[in-house]
Amino acid sequence: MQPEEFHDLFSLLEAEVKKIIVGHAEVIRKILVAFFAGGHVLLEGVPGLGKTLLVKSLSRALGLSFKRVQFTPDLMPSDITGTQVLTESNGRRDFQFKKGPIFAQLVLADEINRATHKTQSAVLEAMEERQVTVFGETFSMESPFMVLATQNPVELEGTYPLPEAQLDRFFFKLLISPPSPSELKEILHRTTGSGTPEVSRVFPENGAGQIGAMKSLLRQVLIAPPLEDYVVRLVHSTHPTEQPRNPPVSEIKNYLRFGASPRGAQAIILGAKGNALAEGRVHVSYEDIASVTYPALRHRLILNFQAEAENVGPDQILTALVKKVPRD
Amino acid sequence: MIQPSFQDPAERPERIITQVITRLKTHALRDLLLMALPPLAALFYVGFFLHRAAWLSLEFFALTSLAMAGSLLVAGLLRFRFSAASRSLAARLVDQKAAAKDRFLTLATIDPSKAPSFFVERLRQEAATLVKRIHFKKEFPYRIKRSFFVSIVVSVCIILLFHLLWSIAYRSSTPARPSEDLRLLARKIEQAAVFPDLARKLESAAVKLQDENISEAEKQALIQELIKNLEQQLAAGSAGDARDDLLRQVRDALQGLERDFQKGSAQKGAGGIKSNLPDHREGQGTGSEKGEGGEAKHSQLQDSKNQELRGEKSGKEKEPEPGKKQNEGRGDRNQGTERRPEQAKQEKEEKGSKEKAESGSKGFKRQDEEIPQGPPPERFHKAGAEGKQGVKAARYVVVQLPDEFEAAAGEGVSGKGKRVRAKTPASNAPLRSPDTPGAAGEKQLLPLEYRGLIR
Repeated sequence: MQPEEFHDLFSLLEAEVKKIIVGHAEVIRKILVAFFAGGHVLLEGVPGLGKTLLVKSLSRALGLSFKRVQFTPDLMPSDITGTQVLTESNGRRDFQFKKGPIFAQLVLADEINRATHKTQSAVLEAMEERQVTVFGETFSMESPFMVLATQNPVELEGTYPLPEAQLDRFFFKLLISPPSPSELKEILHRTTGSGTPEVSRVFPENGAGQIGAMKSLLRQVLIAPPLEDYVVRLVHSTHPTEQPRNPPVSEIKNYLRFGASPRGAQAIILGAKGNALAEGRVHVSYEDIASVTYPALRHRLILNFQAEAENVGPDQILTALVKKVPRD
Repeated sequence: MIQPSFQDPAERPERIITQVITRLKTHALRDLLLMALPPLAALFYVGFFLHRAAWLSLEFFALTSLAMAGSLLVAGLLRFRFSAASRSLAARLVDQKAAAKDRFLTLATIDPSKAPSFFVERLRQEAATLVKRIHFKKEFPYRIKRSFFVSIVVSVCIILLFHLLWSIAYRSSTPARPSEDLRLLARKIEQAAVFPDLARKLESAAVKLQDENISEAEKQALIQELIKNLEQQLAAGSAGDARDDLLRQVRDALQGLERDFQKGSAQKGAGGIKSNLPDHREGQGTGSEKGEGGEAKHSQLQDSKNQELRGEKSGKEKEPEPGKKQNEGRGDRNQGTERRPEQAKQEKEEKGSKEKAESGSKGFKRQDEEIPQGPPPERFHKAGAEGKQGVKAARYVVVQLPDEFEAAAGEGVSGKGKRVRAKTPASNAPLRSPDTPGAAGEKQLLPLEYRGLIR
């Protein structure tokens, strides 16, 4: 596959999704970049912003199987992974494994923070290993496979915040903001009028091969060693225990308990490569790194009590980080 | 499909990075030279100045200059090495100028053997179109840095400070020993590579001056002999203008040495004694009038003295046989006892006016006065010593005449031409010493010794 072909297909996917979703161009691009980078995405936003519609449209454009799981406090792990079911055929009774919704190619885990940790951990293995083990038997996921989880920042009562280990497995964390007045007007035109547009399929039925080629092409994008060094400096600067006595980024020492793991650096590099390819380039630039730093690191920084007390968020810390860490 | 190209390294767009690096290195070298040359020139100037003042020999000066230049060169090379632009920095500059979004940085730093060739060729294609945006000389011009101006200011300050310290040291320094002066002179002549004999003579004179077994008079005679030789050579006038200047310099220096010698011997107390008492003239008319005119007379006297000296000097140079006449003139001037009466009178008036003008001064010092040889003049006599002009520092006291003299004096005063002659002295009791407090104001009976003084 050529970079131009990638760019064309990428742009087509974006355009198809934008037929249904108004605004959120950056979110759409980041989700697609995460998809081709092989990662999972956590979407955070208030209800009614079209998160579910977004994922559905994406699955239609990609031509992938899609399943939605509404996480509730009484949801069991077997409801996600599947379970053994007693069946009878030819006079014989046997247990048959019935696959759960996690076995779709695109899984929407809606309000994942409402389910118990036990249920949340059921998604963990699937996200990381691309396989599920039930009653000692391992079942692999279909390729490509992506989990898009959503969480509501408003309803904190009766919720189970995602553990750090699970948060770290998400490639990007994207914040969905409410639409602007013009966007809202457009949404109303599309949804309250007659004739809603349809999303066309970009990839054919056997499009998995093409998607695989695009994923492979993404990993071949060139990145200069100085840029890699810059990413390393960025991630290393997030560790409060590794800082000198008078660190250049004082916010790290003041507000962080733990910094980003190596997965954060991987997410930045792969995300920057995907971003470059989406713009039709075959090399990574500093702007690509800057555009993916926030989605890649904001959910990987663990804040301390002082940050919570002073209402300091991870994005503020990342702003200071990007400003003060030198590029060369 | 993009056809692979840029097989020839000379055609590759990253070649511009190499050109930028070369240009930046040239700029760095220029900066270095501009920064290093002013202090080097300043130090060279200082060294040359010291060499001209005979503080540094030619070899030492040359060695020091070479060492300074060498050390500056080494320091410059080291600094140049660290300040030279790296490949990534040059690539970033090119990206900035061409708005290339880090294409040149990627091309400059990646290992093409490990990267997909198709991607590298595609990157080169894109970079090649962007290279055309760069006007090399316009985008990377040379600009003089602030360090150059700082360097110039520092160098000028060094030179000014040196001159300031030199002048302070020159004023406050104690006179060098005569032997050292002669040695410096000898070295100067030696460096000029002329008059080797003279240089040797000066060197030997320096040794003799240090010798304590040789008397002061012999040392002075030695210096005078050297001066005489120089006068002869100057009068001969065969050496040439530059060499004449050198001879004159040496002669002036020797004359200065001679004066210092005579001053030193005079202060030691041989013959003349410097009087600490002011030379009052209370009995001789109003001193204030003399004081007012005295300053003008003093300056006139100075000028006339200077003119005389200059006239004598020029006269010595012009005369075909300067030796005899010069010596005579010098002897006349230096004897002191056979001074012209007009000069002596002028000097006394000048002393009086000077003392009036400078009430705090203890003695009278004239810069251009030549210290005569032989017995010192009367002005160096101690108080009470008798000279041709009378008793030095003699004071006048009010004398009470005896009754018989008073009566005779009254008759004498009324008529003109009548003189009072004392018949019998009233007392031969000596007067108190004039420096006794109240001695001037006391009334004493006329002693025998003053009989002839009353007119």
